[in-house]
Amino acid sequence: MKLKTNPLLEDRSIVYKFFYYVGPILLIVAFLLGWNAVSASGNVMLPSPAEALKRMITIWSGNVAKHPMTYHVGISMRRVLTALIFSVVVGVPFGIAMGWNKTFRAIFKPLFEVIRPVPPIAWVPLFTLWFGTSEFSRVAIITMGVFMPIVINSYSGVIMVPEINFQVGKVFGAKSTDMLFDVVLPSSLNAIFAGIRTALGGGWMVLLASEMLGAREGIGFLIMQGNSANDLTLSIVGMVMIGFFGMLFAYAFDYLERWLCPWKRK
Amino acid sequence: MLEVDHIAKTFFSDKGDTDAIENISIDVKENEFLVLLGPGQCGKSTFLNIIAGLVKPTSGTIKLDGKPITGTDPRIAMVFQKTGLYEWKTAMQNAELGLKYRKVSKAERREIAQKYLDLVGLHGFENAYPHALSGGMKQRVGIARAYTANPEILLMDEPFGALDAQTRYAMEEEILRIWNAEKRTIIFVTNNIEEAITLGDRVIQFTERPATVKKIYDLSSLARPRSQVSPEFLRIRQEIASNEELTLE
Ligand SMILES: Nc1ncnc2c1ncn2[C@@H]1O[C@H](COP(=O)(O)OP(=O)(O)OP(=O)(O)O)[C@@H](O)[C@H]1O
Ligand SMILES: [Mg+2]
Repeated sequence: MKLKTNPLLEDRSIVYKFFYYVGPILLIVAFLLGWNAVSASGNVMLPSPAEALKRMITIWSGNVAKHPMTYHVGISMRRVLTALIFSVVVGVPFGIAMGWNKTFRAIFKPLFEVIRPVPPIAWVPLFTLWFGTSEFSRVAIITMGVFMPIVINSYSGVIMVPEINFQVGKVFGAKSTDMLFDVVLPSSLNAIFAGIRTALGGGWMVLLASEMLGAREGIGFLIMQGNSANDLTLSIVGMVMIGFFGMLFAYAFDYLERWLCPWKRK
Repeated sequence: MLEVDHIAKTFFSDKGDTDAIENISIDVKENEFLVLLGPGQCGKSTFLNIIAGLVKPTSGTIKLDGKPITGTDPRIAMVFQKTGLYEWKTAMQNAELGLKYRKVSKAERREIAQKYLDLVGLHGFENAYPHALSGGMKQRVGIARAYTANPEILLMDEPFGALDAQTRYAMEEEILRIWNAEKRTIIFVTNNIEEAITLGDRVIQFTERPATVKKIYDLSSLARPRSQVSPEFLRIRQEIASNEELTLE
């Protein structure tokens, strides 16, 4: 007897390998060429990639808006990460409890369904009134954006655990705690991770809104600053930063998932 | 040892009630290989689930060693129709499940699970996750998991139903080899006549839904291994087939 192997990885042809490794690079190059062409045509106002790169280098080697770039990046990351970690630590158990316990679900689900459709940015006026334009306000708004998908996905992960998994647990003598931690939790990890991934994407979006609240630093602030100072290149540098660090987060997260779920490694 | 006494099951739902089982009574003997043969959707899984304690019967009782059982019981384990392996656990961790939940020490349950993984022919695959295993190997883990729980009775719900014919024949021989090495009472469900005759000491033929006992065939005099083309095999096959209701749905 032999273990099954992944046929996609087994007989990779040269063509497959080429597109797998070179394809993504080609695509990014094509994107940059297109960007450059649009900017060179002069039809729209758009700094070229070279200009953006030059600006990026000066920004990274000096200060922008009174602070080094690392400070802006660091503080934005801290805002997103604080909201994310809080939401994972509170939201995952909350969602699981909602899926696991009928009474808990009956009490909290309606409230959640009411809050869910409200866009996170809609909380801005309320939070400003309560907490002022403080750091707390900013993190609270981002939290409104990341908490919901995390709770909802953890919840649906639990209610979608296949019946057979419970039957197996029962036949082999699982107690309630075994069922929760040894069956339900690993069965719903997929959905939980999907929720965190969605939340992360949403988090970057809400970051921008939160940094409109009187922030004097952060990537979102730089983008707004570029807008009000008619400095388009600065805005683009900010966009590239969010794109780059967003991607870094996503990859780090994939890595974390593979580490936590060794059974998914093919 | 196991007495099934006037079991019936009706599923009640808004869309209408389904009679799945109608009045089944069976005495299962210690260490016998009992095959339940029935057509698709007749209520076979429901019946096994009732014995396993996963489904409550509408009426009737199940007695094990003279005492009624309600709910799941450590003396009864099951091999599931769709394997039911936990994909986040290795072959070893899956096999140990019953002992883990019953708080047997890690070293001890390792040792016992290893013994049964070896018995089912999975030595060297202890650390493989289910997604890397073929259908036949998965069901071997399922069998090792049931044996490791150390039950008196093993329920098997069409364990080879999803396998290709070749693997299925091989697994039929395997289960007989395993059962000969470690005798237990096996209640094996199938919808395949050849499989039933190849395996069973007795074959109980079920009717269409609602399932009830149509006929009992005693095959204990038929020597093993059983050639599927021997005159005796073919005669019994003919007899059972003539009693099947051939209905077109
Ligand atoms: N939980 C349930 N609620 C309602 N009806 C059910 C339930 N479980 C099974 N049934 C019905 O009972 C009947 C028997 O189902 P069962 O799964 O026991 O049959 P089976 O003989 O095992 O079928 P198969 O050959 O497909 O394995 C079917 O008509 C099914 O739809
Ligand atoms: Mg079935």
